[in-house]
Amino acid sequence: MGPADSPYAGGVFFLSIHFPTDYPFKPPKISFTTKIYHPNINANGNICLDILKDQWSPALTLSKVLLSICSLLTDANPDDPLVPEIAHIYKTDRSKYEATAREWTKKYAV
Amino acid sequence: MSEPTKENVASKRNFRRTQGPQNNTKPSNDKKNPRRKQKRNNVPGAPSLDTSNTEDDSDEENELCVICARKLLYVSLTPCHHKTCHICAFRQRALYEKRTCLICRTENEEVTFTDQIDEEISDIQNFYEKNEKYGIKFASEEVATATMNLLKFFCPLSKDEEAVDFGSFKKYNEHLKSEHSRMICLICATHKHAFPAELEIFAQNQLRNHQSKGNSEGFKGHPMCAFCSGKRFYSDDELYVHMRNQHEKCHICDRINPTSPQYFKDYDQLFDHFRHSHYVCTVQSCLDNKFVVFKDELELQAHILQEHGNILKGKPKFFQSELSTFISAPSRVVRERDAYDLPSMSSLPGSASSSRTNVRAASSPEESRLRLAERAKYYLENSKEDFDKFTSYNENYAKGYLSAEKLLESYKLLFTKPNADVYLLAHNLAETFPRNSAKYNNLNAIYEQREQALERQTSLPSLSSDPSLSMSMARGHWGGTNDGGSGGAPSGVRNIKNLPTLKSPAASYDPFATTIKKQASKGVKSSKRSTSQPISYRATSNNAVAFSPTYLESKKNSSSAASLNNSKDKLKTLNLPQLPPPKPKVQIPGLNRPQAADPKQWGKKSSIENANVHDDLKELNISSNGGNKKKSKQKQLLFHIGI
Repeated sequence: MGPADSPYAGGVFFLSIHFPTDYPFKPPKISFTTKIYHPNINANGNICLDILKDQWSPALTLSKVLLSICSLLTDANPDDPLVPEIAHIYKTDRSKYEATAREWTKKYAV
Repeated sequence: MSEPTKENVASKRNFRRTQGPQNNTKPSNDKKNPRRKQKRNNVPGAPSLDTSNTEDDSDEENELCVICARKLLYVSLTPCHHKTCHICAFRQRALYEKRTCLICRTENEEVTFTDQIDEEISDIQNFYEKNEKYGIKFASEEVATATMNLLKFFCPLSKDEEAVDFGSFKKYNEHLKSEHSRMICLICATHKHAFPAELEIFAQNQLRNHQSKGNSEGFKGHPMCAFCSGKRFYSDDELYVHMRNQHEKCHICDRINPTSPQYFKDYDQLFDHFRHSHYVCTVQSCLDNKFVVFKDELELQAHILQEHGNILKGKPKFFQSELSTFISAPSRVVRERDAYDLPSMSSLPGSASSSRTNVRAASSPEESRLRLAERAKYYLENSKEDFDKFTSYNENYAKGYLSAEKLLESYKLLFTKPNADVYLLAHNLAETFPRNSAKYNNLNAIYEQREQALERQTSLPSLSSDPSLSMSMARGHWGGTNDGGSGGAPSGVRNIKNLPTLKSPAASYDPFATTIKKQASKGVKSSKRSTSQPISYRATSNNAVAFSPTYLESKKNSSSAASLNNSKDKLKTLNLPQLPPPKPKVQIPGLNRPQAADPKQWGKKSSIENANVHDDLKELNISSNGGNKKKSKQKQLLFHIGI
């Protein structure tokens, strides 16, 4: 469920989670299967999140990772964007970003 | 103390980041006062830890490694006070060759391996041995032997008394092959970061299965490179690296559809692909550069003009013939365009979203079912009992025992949380039924009704605050009235205007359209912006005047449902977003043009009621029509987009 205090509120977003054979020494591969308008999530659903890449620790659990993804939805990180166009809108015209994100949520996740 | 508090304290003490131990890893106490665990109860300032100690003591037998969840036999203690089993820690240091703590990622030069699993790192002062290579201090010989043996290649199938260390995966595999007709997967051996004893031993056909199909536990086999025959890779990641380094990817296709990259064996094949599917610059210098290639003809020509302008100038005829050789493959161009529609949506989200406002993404019934379940669980806070009720309601609806309205009432009773949106649930449930089935329609009608009501509530106030949103709202709203066929608008008339004039008789349109055409050529020239425009209509054509009030009335009628007390100004702002399709082309010059006001027209201004509203609407119509030389054609196009 999209966090209540975000433009994704009300949407149900599906994720695909793939555990590599050397999990937990390697991070799980997580991607969105529901389209989402977010500066750190691209059209393929790939998520740009440090703990899913080099900041992974084997002690992280899936629930913590999912929590991090939830908080990424609330607080995007436009300074390390995966989709520069959205990041630009996020930084320059926040209300437009929120409107589009809401619209996409309604379109794809409701 | 309660369990959560204990964990909180532990995580606050030990972990700067979010990750802490999941189970009962013991939090460290004061480092400078090493104590045995029996004495720990007396450590001041950590009363909350007392209970955890006793708990730990009681289920000590079951203490598990936080990483691999195996029972702790020997432990690795780090200076950052984290504890894991010796296997995980050794894997990290020996096989991954990293010295970061598995839990907090602190770089630790040295760690201590001990069999005293309740020790603190500072408790251990005497070491049996120190391994410089891996930075491990062993507290006892037993631990050291057990740990170092992990790296050795013993054959588990040999029953010899003395175990032989084969020294490498290759020799180990050779031994297995010759002595036992078994083998290991050498791909796993080099990539899995597994200790030799952890590797599965296969018979020949088992190995083939392992590599091509994987196993039932989610491993799908080692992927193979389609170009290098039989070459397999540990995982998609390694395959991807190989493809990137050894083969060529078409960057044009990648741009068109990033989800399915096109690879080619080498430059020659890639060039063939470029020639067939894209636009290659065949100028020798560009060919030598391997390759200069473009997605479409336009880009190529831009490149030629920019880079090879001299060629073009010197011998234009020769060059043209050259052009004709590489502009080919129209079939591919069509395919490209088709393919482009999808990714363009995702790569250019802003533009796509506005053009597709009214189109809902269709989701599969399966996904809808999942979504429905997830949403219900969330609203019900994962209450099993309530969810069962919810499921039974849905079943009853599916069987026809419950009507859509009754179902909604049941929902309202069941979902009491303030954030629960029963209409969304109804919508999700509707989507699990086939489109256009009665069950779908009944439920969705409820949802749509509510949506429209909401939209009406929100669209007007939002106009002032957020133009982009209100624009889509307004468009959706008017689109809705169009579809509803509220008036007797013949289909031919629809093409003329998608303004909310559907209710007015068609007769008033045709004269309007023609007058506008005439008028546009004359009147627009003089003063587009002039607020007295309607008067010029009145002077020239009665039809136009007859139209204006009808137009405004119908406008008012349709919007009166939304808010009766709206001022004309608000109406005006509401209308503005309605018209943008034709607007940009011609309105701008119109706006900037100095106002060559006709004195006659100015004079009559005051006599017209609602002049402002008329004017603005008219002005838009005129400016849009006036600028277009091929009016009728362009208009039609515009309205297809609009509807």
